Amino acid sequence: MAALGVRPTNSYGGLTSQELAREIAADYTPTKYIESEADLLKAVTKYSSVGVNGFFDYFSAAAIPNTNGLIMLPVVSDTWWCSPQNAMVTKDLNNIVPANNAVDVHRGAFIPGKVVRAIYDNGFWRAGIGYIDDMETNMYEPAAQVKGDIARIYMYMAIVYPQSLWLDAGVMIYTDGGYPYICRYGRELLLKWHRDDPVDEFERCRNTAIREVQGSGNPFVEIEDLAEYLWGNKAGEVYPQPPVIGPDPAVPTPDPTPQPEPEPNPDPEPEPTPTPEQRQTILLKGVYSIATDVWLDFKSPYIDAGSQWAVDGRPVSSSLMLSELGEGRHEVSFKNEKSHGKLSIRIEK
Amino acid sequence: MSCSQTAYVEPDRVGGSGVAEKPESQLDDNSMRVVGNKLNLKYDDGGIIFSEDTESCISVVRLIDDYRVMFDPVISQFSINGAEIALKEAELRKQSDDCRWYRLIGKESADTIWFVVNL
Repeated sequence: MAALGVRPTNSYGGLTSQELAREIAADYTPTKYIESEADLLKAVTKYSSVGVNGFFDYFSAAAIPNTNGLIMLPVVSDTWWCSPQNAMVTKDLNNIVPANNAVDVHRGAFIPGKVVRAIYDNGFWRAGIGYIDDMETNMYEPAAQVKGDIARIYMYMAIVYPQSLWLDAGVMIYTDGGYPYICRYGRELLLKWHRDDPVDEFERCRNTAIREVQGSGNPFVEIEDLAEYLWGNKAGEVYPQPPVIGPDPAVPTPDPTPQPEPEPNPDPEPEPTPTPEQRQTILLKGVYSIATDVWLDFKSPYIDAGSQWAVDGRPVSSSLMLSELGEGRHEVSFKNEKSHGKLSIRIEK
Repeated sequence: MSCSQTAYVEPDRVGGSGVAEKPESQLDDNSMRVVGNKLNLKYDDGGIIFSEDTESCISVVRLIDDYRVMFDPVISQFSINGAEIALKEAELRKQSDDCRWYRLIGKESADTIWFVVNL
């Protein structure tokens, strides 16, 4: 795998899942957007220029000979977003790729995937019918050499432009509300493409060019393992702290006068348990650990925030300590103006 | 949860011989679930939200992977992860005080899906 380019100074060490995603979004939301189409074209053609032979085309093996045959293609369709975000996603350079002007006709707002029955095939990319859990749906499949590039764009858009309610085919890739942002089908597909086609020199150069214009690039291009901690093999694990860099062994350090060790406190005060307001909320899930989760929070992207809650039939008005409920199965129920429902959770040590 | 009253609902037939069917084994089990055609969402497995809105639309979400299934018995609409699955048939096969058994048959695959809810 090729070495990566720019590495941000922020560290995500100690973060996991939703908190990790939020920090990434905060760091990588563009600080500036290009407003004019002319400047957009200029920015894209700058990094995609392949010399006198034209411009790199994400949807053809041949270069686009001139700007007349080139379109600024949003990889993720703006029709998936509500206003006003739909305007931003067409200006974010991370989501814009150069493509020949025949692509839009054949791809439309299809979701990415493995095309089983092609309706269009130019030998480089295909559009047609694919399957999600035995369900037929329209899909497009990029060429192998750009699948990773495309996947990392979808990942970026999920984190930086989340929606509480996706439109059109967006619901087939993304989830409403917060983490994990990408549905199971999307996660499996995008992770596979991300792994099979790692970041290469062209993608790094593109990322650098975008960063220079917008103030930020794509975190999934710059930090190769972020996707694994969000959705892949390390999902749910704490992102590791950066290695501590010690003093240069070639430079002798003065030998300080050794100070005596302070006497340990024989009766230290226990660490106070953070209140629900002081800590990160844990979205509702199936299995809880008393030791690591500590609290049961009543929050889910699938349940209205103003709901009334009960646990094992007992009304509750705020988060509960898992130790109060005890190990075993418990029923969490809710009701609000629009709906009512329940789920079973398991609490373990 | 036990059902105190049980009523068998005669299926709403289109054509057919008019001979009543024997209740399937699914009707003897009132545990909340969506099963059939590779679907296997059971409330007792944990981590799966079963909910119903004011218009009787039933939603099921498996939290570990956000797998979502929705069934609207009023308009016989069924979807998986937001994508609609065409139905040939959707009928309320059995109803008790607090439990309903819906049987769905896919239009393309002819597979049977059982929606059992006691909310």
